[in-house]
Amino acid sequence: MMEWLERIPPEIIRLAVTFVILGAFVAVNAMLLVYIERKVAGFVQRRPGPYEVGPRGILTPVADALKMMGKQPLMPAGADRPLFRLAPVLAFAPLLLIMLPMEFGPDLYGLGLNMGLLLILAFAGVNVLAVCLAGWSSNNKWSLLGAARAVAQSVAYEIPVLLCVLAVLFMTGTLDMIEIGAGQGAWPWQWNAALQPLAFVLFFICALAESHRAPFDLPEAESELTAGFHTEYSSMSFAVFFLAEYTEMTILCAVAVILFLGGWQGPFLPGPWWFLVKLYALLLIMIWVRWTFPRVRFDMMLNLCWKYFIPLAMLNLLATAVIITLVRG
Amino acid sequence: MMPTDNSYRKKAGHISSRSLPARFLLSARSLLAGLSITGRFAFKPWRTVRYPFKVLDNLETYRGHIEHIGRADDPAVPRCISCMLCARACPSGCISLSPRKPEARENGADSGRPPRKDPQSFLLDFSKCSLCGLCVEACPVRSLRFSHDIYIVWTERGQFIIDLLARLQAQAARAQKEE
Repeated sequence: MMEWLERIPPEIIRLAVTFVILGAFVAVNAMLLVYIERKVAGFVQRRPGPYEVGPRGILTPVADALKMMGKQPLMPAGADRPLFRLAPVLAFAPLLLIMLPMEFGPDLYGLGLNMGLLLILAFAGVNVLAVCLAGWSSNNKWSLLGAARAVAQSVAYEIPVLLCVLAVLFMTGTLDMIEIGAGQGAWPWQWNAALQPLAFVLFFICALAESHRAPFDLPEAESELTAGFHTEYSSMSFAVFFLAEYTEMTILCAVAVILFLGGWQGPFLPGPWWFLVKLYALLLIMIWVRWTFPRVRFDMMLNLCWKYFIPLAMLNLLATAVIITLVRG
Repeated sequence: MMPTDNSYRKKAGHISSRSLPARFLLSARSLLAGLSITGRFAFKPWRTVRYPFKVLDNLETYRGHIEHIGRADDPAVPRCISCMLCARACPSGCISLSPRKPEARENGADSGRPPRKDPQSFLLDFSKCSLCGLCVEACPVRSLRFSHDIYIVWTERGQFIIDLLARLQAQAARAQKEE
């Protein structure tokens, strides 16, 4: 009776199950992050934040999602119809792929790839294209300006990110996310962050810029660009952009956890819990930073990257290479 | 746009006069100071109340549109002496008042009281008002003050033109009734 099931290769079944689980995780994670974000914003400004829907407002993101689904999808006159519809899909779809080679706990991964990190870095670039298409196809000056900013920012900050990742790769000598995680120990002094503190800090700051988070949220600076590249999006297409934004944050933090903070390893608790603890600690710092610092000016932001972060990351890479050569003889 | 005037950078003690590592340390310290402030604020008690269920009791500090203060001997008549200083002080030209005509200023032939100086009409166009308070400061007889009504709702543009004399009379009538 179940014979047809046995004929399907197990890899396909594993992939299908992984995508379902990842999809559920992404949706729940985004709602949780929206709730945490608004609560932190409230607490920092000494007010309760969302409070009325459900106990302590825990159901507010659910109400938000339902409201978003009920909205009318609008398209501006003169918009490029296929590109306008394609952009949100393109922003979101690669993100599920990116999460495949990550190990969330012992043997808890979608796809064992010896080029896992390369896959992550390659598909992370697709988001830039999606933002660019969204801004271009909207036929709106704010959208276009936001998209132009987003592209300039993402292209600039991808370089220090790659240089920081490369410094870790010099040490581990593998692109396999699972091996990189396994190469570190359970205690903080055994993590890559202890050996590469500068790379870790730079990676985290650039992750803020890559995910367009405050203080680097210039592509959607409300005061100048209304909402930046997603000005014209409503309903589910906006919700998908929103989802993609929070998922991107989560992915960057997850990569940071695996590369620098020892992955799922940790004392006392079982693996997946440690991964979640580290992941949400980083995300909480991201949210905390957003509600603390004002937005930087655009030329300042690019100066920061080109004049300071890239030279620093290069020096760090050089030092890493020299030390590794000396140590390994 | 970069500021063209860079003279502030030459001032002693400005951050750009320090060496690069010192600037990095200073910047990092100021960023951490900001984080520590918001971090501490997050655990302090809330400063807001759950509005429809709880209302603050300091509403008299609210600065609504201006209103007249009644005279001590007749609360339905404003202290105003129609000097027009408020109308001139107003940067937006919200206030239009007309003094009484000479014959209307008589208090009655044998009353022995000085002629009335309170205005014939006093209209406030609240749609233009920016609540700057210059009229309140300009008034030589302290006839104007801010009202404290936070629950005002208007649905038509015409309602923004408020007859302040009628408002004072209504207030006086209400106060009398309560007595």
